[in-house]
Amino acid sequence: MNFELIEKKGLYIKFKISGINPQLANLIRRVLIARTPTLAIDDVLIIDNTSVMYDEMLAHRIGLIPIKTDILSLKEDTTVNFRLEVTAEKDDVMVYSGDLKSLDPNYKIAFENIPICKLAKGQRIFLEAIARVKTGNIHARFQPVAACAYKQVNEDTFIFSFESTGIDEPEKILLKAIDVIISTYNEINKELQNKIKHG
Amino acid sequence: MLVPVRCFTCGFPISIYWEEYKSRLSKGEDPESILNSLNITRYCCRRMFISTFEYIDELLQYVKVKEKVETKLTHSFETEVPKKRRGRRKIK
Repeated sequence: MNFELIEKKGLYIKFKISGINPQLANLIRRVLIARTPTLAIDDVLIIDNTSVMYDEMLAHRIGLIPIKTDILSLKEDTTVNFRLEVTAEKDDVMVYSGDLKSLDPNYKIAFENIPICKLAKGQRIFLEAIARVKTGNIHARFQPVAACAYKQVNEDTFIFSFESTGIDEPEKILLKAIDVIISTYNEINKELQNKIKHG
Repeated sequence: MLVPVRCFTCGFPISIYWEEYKSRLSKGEDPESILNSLNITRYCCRRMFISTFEYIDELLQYVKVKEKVETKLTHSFETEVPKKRRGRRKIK
């Protein structure tokens, strides 16, 4: 097996893996998309919302905002609380993702310039959000990668390309995905050995 | 209403480039050259920028008009409050 990095530009990564079969290549792609645990906002408690946007729409927009984490050391039971409190006192105010303040200093919003809502004078948004670790098969907001795909160039050579959604460096996400595959198979191995030993 | 947070197809948070795109577009730059310089290569993400229409500003106009009308109504109501009657009317 041979791994070769072709291109890395910001959040985008392109690499070549040779010496594997299509099944294994597809496994890597599918685990990257749907089985890599990611931190994202799961619950939104709206305390006050007098904006023109419905509560559901606001919660949906907030849920899609990526959170910066160290994906390799992320624990399954991590929960992070966020708070957003904006009042338009004098003029129209644009609410950005940067206004979403984390109550845990280890975690923060990946990009601070995502527009969430616009408030007219006198309107107010006050909410609390709870982020949890889940996988991409539950909802797309838990997906760590965007446009993850591979191309078969040879009988045993595959060119992968994907873009991180901003939660971490793309190569770390790949490492985590491979960690997930290894730990899953290790579990199967353990169970099987127990079965053989004890019947 | 506002620009979607992520691209509908691939899930990349395209809204991080929205403010820059909008400000450069208002200066008269060509959308194609802006998207190329922002390094947005996939056509799923490119159509998000080209086809977004922000109508939240129009909704905010309604909020402002409503506020004006309400203040006017309460004002006119206050001036037309009937005078207090002096004493009770005798019932014959």
